[in-house]
Amino acid sequence: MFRLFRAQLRRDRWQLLYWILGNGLFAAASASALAQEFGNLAERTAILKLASGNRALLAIRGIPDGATEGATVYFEIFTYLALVAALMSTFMTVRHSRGDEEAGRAELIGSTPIARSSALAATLLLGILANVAMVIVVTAGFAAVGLPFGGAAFAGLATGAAGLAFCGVAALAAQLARTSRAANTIAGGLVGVAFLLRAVGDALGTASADGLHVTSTWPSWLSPIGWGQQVRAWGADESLLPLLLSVTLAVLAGAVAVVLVRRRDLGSGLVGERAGRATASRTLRGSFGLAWRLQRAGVIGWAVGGVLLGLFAGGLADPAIAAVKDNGDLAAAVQGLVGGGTAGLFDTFVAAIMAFLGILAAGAAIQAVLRGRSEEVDGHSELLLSGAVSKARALLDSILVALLSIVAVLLAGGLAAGLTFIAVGHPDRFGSSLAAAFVQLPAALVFVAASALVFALLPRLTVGLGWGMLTVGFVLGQFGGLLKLPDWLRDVSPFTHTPVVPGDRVDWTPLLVMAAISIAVAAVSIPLARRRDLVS
Amino acid sequence: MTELIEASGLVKTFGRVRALDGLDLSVASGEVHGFLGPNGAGKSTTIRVLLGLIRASGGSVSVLGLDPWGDAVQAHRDIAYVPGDVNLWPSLTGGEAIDLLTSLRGGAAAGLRADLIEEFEFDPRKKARSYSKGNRQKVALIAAFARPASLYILDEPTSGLDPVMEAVFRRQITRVKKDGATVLLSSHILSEVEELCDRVTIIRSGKTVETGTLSELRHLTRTSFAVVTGADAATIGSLPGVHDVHTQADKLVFDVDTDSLQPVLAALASSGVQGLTVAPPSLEDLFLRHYGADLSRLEFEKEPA
Repeated sequence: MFRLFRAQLRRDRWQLLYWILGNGLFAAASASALAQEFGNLAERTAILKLASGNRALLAIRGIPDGATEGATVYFEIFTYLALVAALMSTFMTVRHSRGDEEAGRAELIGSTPIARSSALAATLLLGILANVAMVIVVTAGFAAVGLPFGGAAFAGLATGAAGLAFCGVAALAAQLARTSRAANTIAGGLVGVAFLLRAVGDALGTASADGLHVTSTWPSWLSPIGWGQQVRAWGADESLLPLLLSVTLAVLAGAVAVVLVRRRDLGSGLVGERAGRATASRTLRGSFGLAWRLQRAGVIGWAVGGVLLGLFAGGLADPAIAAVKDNGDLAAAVQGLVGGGTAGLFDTFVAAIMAFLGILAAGAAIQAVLRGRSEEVDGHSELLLSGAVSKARALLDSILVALLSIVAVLLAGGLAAGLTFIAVGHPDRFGSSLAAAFVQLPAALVFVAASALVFALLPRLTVGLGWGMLTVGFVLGQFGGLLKLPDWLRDVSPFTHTPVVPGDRVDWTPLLVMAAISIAVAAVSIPLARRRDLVS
Repeated sequence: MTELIEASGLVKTFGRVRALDGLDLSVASGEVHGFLGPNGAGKSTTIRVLLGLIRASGGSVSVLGLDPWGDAVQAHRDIAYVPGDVNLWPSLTGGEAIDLLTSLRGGAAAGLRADLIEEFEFDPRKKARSYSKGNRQKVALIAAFARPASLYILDEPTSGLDPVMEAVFRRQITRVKKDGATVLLSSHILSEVEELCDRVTIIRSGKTVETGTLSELRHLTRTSFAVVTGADAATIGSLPGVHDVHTQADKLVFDVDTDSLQPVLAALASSGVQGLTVAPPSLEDLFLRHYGADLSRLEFEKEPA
């Protein structure tokens, strides 16, 4: 087992290092930025009071617990530290369990004289090690910028515990699903559910009289991310007890996974396989049909995310607005959260949520373009291109599917928001919700065009650069203000240029410029793709 | 006879590696052409150049009279291809993959598709991820044969197939040849090539080392004799064209150049033969003669001088 563990560690060391160091740097950078921006207690008290009255802010950040420097940082960023740890753990666990099994490596290992559960045990051990490293690095990140060590250790432990819980969850998902893709979908979906439960539970929480503390409602207590939030590092009610829940979940889920792996056949899952179609449907005949078919399930997943965001925007707008309506300073502060034009509070709130929808749409689109690359690596492109399909046509198909994915995600989010507004008594906001969703389209297009260009010129870097661009765009767009980055750097992100719609004075120019750039870059990439070799 | 594939001085470099180094290949219309070489000789690279999936770094190449890189789409309408390593879309069923692949060339002939599925004893309703290597190979073969093409490019098409399915494959080759199609068959299964191919090209390290009909190539190789005879080894060994004489139990074993068969047979006839086994020159011998030399040289180089 230790040999297997060493082999797995060797395969993953750089990747895990990036995740862990990235999270540590994020912790240190946010803490130091916050110390500059809200250096004194009065400033922090003001911002926390503002937050505890705004359900949307509680949802996308967390719950405040006192106005010390550390507690404010924890409120601002813990959810995202936990999210990174959870995703790292999920992908790592599935990669070594169901991923190996699907690729046939598990068969090779299973033929050697080791126990059936050894490989999974080695993976879980690797998960523990990675999350212990996460604890150390995050703690060090916070301590390095001068925050009290005790709280830093609590914050590190809470982050690692969230990761550990999802090692167990992912190990279990890997036993249920037959493919690593399905296992990642289940476990990754549960990370999303954990995020949403915490968001809803915290948003509906009750604030204390001074506005510096918020008590969450029960949905937060169903979420491993929520348990971490309840650690309230640096806060008045700081406690490690909630982490017992995370550890218990990890142990239980991991144990059930080990029992299952001992009992089931290699390659089988608990979700059975039905006989499929003997012939292809009319829509599958042709290269575009294939590109769409391969992306369909992914688009549905991203669109479900869009629907949830839409429900969120429509359902939480009223209480959020009610909370800030009478407070002029607060209103101004909320408007400061989103750039680009002046708009009513309502519109600002919806726009803040729709900015996330834009990121989902860009993610769906990048995945569609990147599919072209994974098809090439997996040897599928060789089969496709040996038919009467040119490389240019194959890339065009990917771009069109990406475009369809963007429209599907934006439509799902916009419609969900609009319909929710109708349901809560704002029928007039239906059209504006759709507009607020579709204004995100040009920024997402930029990512499509950029990844298509990378695919055509630097095929080996497509996947890394594709997701890397989205991450940078997301961080610059969402955290650029918090991290006090200079304007020119924030302007690198397409998301920064999306205006608030509908607003009083909407500047449409950036949208047109982004769309024009995207079309031009895509138009250049397509013939370029024709000029390169197939690279596997 | 027109040449359907004409490549001369083909060069392909990947960074510093020279995968093809002046390779020549010419395949005439209507023939089944064997394409032989050990692993890593450049067979698959050549085929990828012929399909326009990668671009030759040097030399000239034409397929069906077209430039395979520039006119790839037009050429592919008439080409059926079976890759050496068939990677299918895991979420598609075998039947869907067959229809998809044939649709890219214009669609399967319905009767042919059904016959092939039956002949290859293939279950098209399973998802591709559950197919074994042999079954994945069947998907590519059925898709290739289900729509008539003028050129079939097959890269080690029978790897993973059992002997019964290999026989089905041979019948299909015979059928498409009768219809006037041309086949380029890359293989290292020599019996398959001997049975099916009109001409063969043998490559090594990205270069063509031999090309011609099987009888032309056999001319270059030797016939093996195992004789129970009164004649002693030295006498036989002194005859021109006789090689590697040694005794094996009561037999005298040696090889004879094709040109020298007549005088050797005459000498044997007068020496009192009690038992005789003659093995015809096989492609295998030819193959080993080309690559065996490499092997012995490699072993030689390992010895300290």
